[in-house]
Amino acid sequence: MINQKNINNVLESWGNSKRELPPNNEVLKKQVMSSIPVEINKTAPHGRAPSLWFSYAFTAMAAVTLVVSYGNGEVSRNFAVSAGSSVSLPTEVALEESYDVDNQNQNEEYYSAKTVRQDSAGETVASGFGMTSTPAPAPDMYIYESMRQTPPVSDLREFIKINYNATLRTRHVADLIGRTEVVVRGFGGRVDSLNSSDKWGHVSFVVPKSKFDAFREEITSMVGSRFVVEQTNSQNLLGTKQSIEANQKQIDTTLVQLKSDRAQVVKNHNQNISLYQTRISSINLEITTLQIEYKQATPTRQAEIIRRINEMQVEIGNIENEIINENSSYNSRISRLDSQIKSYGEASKEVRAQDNNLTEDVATVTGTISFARINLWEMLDTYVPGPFLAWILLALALIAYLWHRKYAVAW
Amino acid sequence: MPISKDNLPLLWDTITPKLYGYLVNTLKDRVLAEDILQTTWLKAIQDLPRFESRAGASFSSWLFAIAINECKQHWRKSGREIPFDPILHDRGETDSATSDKILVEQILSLLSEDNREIIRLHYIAGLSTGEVAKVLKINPVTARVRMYRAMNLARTLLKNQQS
Repeated sequence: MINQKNINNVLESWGNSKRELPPNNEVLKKQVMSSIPVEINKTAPHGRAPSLWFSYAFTAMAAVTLVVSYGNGEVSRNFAVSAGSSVSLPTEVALEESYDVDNQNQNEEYYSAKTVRQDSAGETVASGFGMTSTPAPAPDMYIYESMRQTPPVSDLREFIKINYNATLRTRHVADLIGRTEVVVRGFGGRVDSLNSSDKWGHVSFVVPKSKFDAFREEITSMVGSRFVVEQTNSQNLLGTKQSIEANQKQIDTTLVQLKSDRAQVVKNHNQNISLYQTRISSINLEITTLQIEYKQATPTRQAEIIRRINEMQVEIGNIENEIINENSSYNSRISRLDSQIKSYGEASKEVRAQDNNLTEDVATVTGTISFARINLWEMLDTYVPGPFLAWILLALALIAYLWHRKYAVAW
Repeated sequence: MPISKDNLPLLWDTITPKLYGYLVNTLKDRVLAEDILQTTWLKAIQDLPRFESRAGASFSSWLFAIAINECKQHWRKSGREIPFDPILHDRGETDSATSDKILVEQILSLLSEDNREIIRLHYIAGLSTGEVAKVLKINPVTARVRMYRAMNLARTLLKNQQS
């Protein structure tokens, strides 16, 4: 049976059979030996192959770098949103609670509208009839849902307000800020604020919602996708819309009531004056009749006539005083009602303006774009997975290993 | 032992048969083998200081490495490497060929050139597997694997021959 040892023996004997001296061995030997230099023992400076320890050391350092970086949480490629670019919701300016209209006794000529409101300091200010009843001026900002109850689920309307923030890292901060300005305006938007320096930049803007997607694409295409961090916040302003609608309804109801009250006051006044006038007329007629009778009356009768005429004149005086009082009261009531109607009219306009503002706000996207300068190291670190330093150390380890092999394996 | 003018002739006598036998088996041309033998030795003597600066190196394996480089240069210049043909070449063995030698030639003809090189360096030149790896600038594990495959093939051929 042929085994390994036999094969080995066969090959060894074959190898031995191949060994031979060349035919011109002596000649060749002489030629070669004659070429031996005199100072054959001079050796080149002794050098050693570089140790593998360099390679081990760099590899160990790379491993430590990797462990440390992943142990501390992976280095975020999502750069933190810079200061000033955080989402900023509009702040609340004033809270108006619901109006409470007291419908007083119908016999009274006017209603009183009692309102309770809070100013921005949180103090409660009561304004009743006779005081300044003008509602607080409608702020440009809104009463936000956080201060109101959640809208009922049955109302499925959406009034989405979008706020967009982006941070771009680039080596050309000033250039990009200029381009951003142009882009915002090109999409029909508005630049609200702009800060620029060599290393940092900040742009606040408003753009139409209908063009937001295209705008966003344009902005993010200015730098590579690895150098952009975006944040989009959406909020349904349905609660605000409902609040505005409730206010509007309340104001409209109150206005109708006030106008009705006014009409009633005018009617009552006219009726009263008419009554007074009628009475005066009837008294005057009676006086005239008595005066005619006086000419042919007996002295006794004349005395009675005179007494009666005097009584009636006093009565006329009383009625005239009542008329004066009635007019005075009427004027006072009418002016108060007119003042209230005017105030509520203005409040209605303001609420409508709020509604328009809400509609415009929902139709636009506000936001900020921040710019930060990036250096070459950070750029490379962004492209390679894991910490860049680890890759450099691994490369050094590989170079050290190849260097060692070049000198150690050669002979 | 440091190389000196006194022990070089001894080295010649020891190494040259292996080196010449290897070159003949590789180049298939005795005249060419002589030329390269001479060139190899002259280069070795010329670069002797470089050899002595390397610790742990074997003069024999260093010499064979020079010889292999010279062969490669020759093939580059001539444009081709002569394929192995046990019938056409190795004329010196024709008269004294035994069945074992014929078998070995058959084995070699079935091997790749890389594996044939390892067989020649190990059995003709008498180099160890580690020295063969250094000469061929390959991993010692690779050299052992190639040797193992060659030996396996040889065993298979022998089994077939016997059966």
